[in-house]
Amino acid sequence: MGIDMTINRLPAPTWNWLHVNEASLKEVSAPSKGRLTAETPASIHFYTESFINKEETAQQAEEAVAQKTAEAAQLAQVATGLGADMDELAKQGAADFDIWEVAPGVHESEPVRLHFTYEPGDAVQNRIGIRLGAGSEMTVIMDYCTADLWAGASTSADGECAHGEPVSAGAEENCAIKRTEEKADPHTDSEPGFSVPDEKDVNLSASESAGQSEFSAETPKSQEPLQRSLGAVQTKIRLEKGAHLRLVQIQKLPDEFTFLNDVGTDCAEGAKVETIQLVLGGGSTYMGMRTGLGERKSELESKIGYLLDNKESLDMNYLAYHTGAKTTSRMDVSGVLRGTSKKLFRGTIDFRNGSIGAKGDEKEDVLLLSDGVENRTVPLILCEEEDVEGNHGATIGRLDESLLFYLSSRGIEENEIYEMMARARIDALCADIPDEKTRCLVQRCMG
Amino acid sequence: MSEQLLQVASLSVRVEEKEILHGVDLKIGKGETHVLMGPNGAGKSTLGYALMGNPGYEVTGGQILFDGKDLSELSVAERAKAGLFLSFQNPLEVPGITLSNFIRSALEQRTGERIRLWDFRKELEAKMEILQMDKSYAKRDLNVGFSGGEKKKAEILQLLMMKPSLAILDETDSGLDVDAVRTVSRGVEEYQKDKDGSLLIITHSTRILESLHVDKTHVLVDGKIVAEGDASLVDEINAHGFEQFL
Repeated sequence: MGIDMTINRLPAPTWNWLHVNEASLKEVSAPSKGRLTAETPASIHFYTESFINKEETAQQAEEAVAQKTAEAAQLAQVATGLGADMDELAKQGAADFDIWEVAPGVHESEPVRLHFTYEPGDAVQNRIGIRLGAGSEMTVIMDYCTADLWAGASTSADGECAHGEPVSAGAEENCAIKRTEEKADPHTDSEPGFSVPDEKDVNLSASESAGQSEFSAETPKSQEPLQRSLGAVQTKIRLEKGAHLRLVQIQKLPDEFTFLNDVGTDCAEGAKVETIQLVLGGGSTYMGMRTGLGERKSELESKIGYLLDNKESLDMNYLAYHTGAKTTSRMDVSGVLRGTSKKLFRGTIDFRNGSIGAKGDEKEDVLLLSDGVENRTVPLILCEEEDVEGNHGATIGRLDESLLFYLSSRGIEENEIYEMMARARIDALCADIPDEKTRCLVQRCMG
Repeated sequence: MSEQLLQVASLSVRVEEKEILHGVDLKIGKGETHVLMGPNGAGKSTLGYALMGNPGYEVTGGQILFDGKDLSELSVAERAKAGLFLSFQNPLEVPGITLSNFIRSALEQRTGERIRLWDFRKELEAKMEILQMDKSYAKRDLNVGFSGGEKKKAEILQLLMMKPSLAILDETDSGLDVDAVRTVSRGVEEYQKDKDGSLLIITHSTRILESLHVDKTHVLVDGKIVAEGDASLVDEINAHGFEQFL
């Protein structure tokens, strides 16, 4: 028996019949630990939560162990967008944190790259911790793909990236993303990698009704093909004073996957977190991000892009939780819906007591390319303080006529313009990714 | 008398509920340069939009023949493919599509053939040099963050790359400093030289015309052509304004 999960709860519930208050997953079996390959620059410290407490570390100074334990416990307390049931799932699956940490004052220009690979039939989970010391700066890039996408990680026959930009010899080499050394779990003496998922089959079947996705587990049946595969990644982040984190997450998974992408961040004074998240494929995706702006002048800048097709669904819950004075948050969502895809975006800016002078902006721009799509946008601004500024806006539908005229006046047919603009939305976000390898991966994901 | 490329006969155009053009007649021969002048609100841009087929501009009467074909049944894109080009007064910003990719896509759409990247790039860079555009603009999103002058240069760059039979330049020189006008003018001259293309230049100023041979000047007032003449009419308007035509 798995657990029933309620995730992506709206902080202030609305009418139930709108079916936007939360999403639910039924009888989700405990996932095993997922495959993860990491590229970690030398200046970034890596450790696992379990490593801290194992006997092998007895030789370490007790003080250091105690400190790491406290830090890991602090990370575990960070609230996330999907909510507490993700922590419960982690307990069931006994997944511990893999933690990347940058020391105070260190500015690392090379990103930490975390490659999560998935295979049909997976039921896996990872928990990631990221800690930035005071005044430090780092970039973390996480991608969620199938192994075959990696296998095809080379440039196209004509030597160009998918979007038509030329690839020079050097860039071509960069595009062919190579797997680097796998980080070994210090307590796994089997094969390299953090862990090897066990062979326990989980049979998840999905049923969707009125905005809630429900997944129920069935008894595994020998080697029969699985109806759904499950991947889950929970990322908890702590930024100390004046730290700056850039977090990039790219998702491209097959239709049979249910994917849970859960992020939570706590920011100290003057800390800044910038995120770019792109959903380029995945049957049912649940994304959530909660950012605690608890101290003065901390900042969030979140950009989200999605390209949904066929029957894909995306359920999002984003919360900027302002309690510090002069904190700022910005959420920009841009996406395209095709086929009979569905999307629900909950975006909440919550100005709590103490957030004097805080500012929050959220906007969504959705392009609807088929009649059968279902789009729901739920912007929410909650306010306990008077001296705050919150804005929200949404543009939903088709392209502006003057833009259509401009582009078609160059000989481009309307259907082609829509295709170009759909791609352009992702390209615009892609251009902001501070890593060429990842930009190439995005282009490859889009075909 | 050169072969006719554009023949506009008794053209009337309505925007929303208001008729802006009332029976305009205009003929432009192949390789000719025509100038369309007129006071603000006369309908000059409306004529440009109507020729290009903007759906917001309804043709209520008359006919437009382009290279012998009736344009009324053609979509905007089909008109462009037929060889018509409109340089916009206020080019739009298009995030996510680079100037280079946009031009290449447009060329491929027009010809229906894949364009070799190397050849395209070489030609693009040559044209950018004529327009004194930094090569980095090719990789920037179309018009996003461009200055007014760079936007106009980007329009002329598209003109040079797409090589239409007839280019309508809608106040391409407005808002540009002297040097920028000279550069844009050089680009327009290059277009004519390269393609023997026809031009309909909508302008208030004569600076853009300095290096061009003007075949005919038309004065549009209140949606009607009220005067026509050769290049000397431009000088006359410069000296005395439009009052004599009102």
